[in-house]
Amino acid sequence: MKGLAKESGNTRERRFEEASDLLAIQETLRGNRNAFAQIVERYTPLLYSLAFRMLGRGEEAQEAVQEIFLRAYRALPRFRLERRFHPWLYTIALNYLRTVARRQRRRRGLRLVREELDTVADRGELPAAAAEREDGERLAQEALAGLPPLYREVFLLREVEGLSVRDTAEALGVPEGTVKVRLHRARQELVRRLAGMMGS
Amino acid sequence: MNCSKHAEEIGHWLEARWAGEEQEPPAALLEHAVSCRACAARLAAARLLADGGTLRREAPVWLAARVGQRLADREAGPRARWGRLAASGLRWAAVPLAAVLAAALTFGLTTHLLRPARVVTVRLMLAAPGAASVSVVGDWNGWDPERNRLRDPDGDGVWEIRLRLRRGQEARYQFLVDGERWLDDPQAPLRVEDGFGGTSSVLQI
Repeated sequence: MKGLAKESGNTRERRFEEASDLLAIQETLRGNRNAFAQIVERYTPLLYSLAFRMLGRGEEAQEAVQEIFLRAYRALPRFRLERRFHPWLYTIALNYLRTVARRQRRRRGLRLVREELDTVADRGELPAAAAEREDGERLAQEALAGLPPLYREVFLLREVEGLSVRDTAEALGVPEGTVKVRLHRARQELVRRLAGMMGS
Repeated sequence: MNCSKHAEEIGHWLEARWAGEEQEPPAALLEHAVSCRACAARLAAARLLADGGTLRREAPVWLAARVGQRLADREAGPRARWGRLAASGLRWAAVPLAAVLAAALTFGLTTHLLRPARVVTVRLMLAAPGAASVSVVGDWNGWDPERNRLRDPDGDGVWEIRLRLRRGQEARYQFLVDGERWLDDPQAPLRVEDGFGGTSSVLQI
């Protein structure tokens, strides 16, 4: 499952996926539970990746993905079929992840979440290269975790998940111009944070 | 050049990459990174951030199936949820009574609440020659493939496991071979829909 394409990329594939989502939703609303399986298969990888980057923990991301799909399933009767499904799903995902992230911060204070990045080295990779990659992964996650939530969400949706500006704006419920400004600020902040990190 | 100057260089490089300029970091920076772990880490992080797609995390192979299981349980109603709580000892803080019961089962108060005869040993077997790993995932272990791994001690391709489960429960399960192939139990007398157009085997203990 390739997931979503940026708007400059495979528009035909995206349109096919949108049509396919719509059919699956219609079937689900008609009482065909198996149809929702298609939605789950398609979007589990994307939602897991987003949840992991927002929460920093694999186990919490797994729980979050399950909860997000439950919420989407319950909300499906209220979904307007003239809309596009995936920005709507991302809206549900972000609303839930924000709640969980706030609870995390209250439990753990302002300490950044350093997580079980359990990076698995490729078999042929030298230990030094694996350590460097792991350090880089850890710093990147710390830098992301330190961003203000509004900037982090835009960066994750645009740069990591590969959503278009339009889809990102729709998922966040903001104008496209706001997406561009927040992304610019997210990048500035990441550069600043990275420069200040000691890397060990 | 000291590290703070190199850190600045890394920032410039990252900004250039985001602006669409395809270029490698300056040679002096790369040379410095060979012997400076801090700058090497910053550069590695910058490479990940420059191409955000490399930051995607791969979901566990069983996650979609678990989502389906929770949806199916929801459809089945409260009875199925209580069955799962009892079988897997789930933490469910929103349901205090279930949490107490689950905790009691998990922490060995079973002998106070259940007679020993109510716990039975179940042996599951699967012929899977050539497999590198076989797990059984089901209601009692939260559909976690790490918790109940089968063994093939004599290498004849027949994998087995003995489980101690509470009598009277009905549990859905499947085998997971090599972390990617889902199989029903060919010896299971009963199968049910899994919510995904497929089936799960059912153990009636």
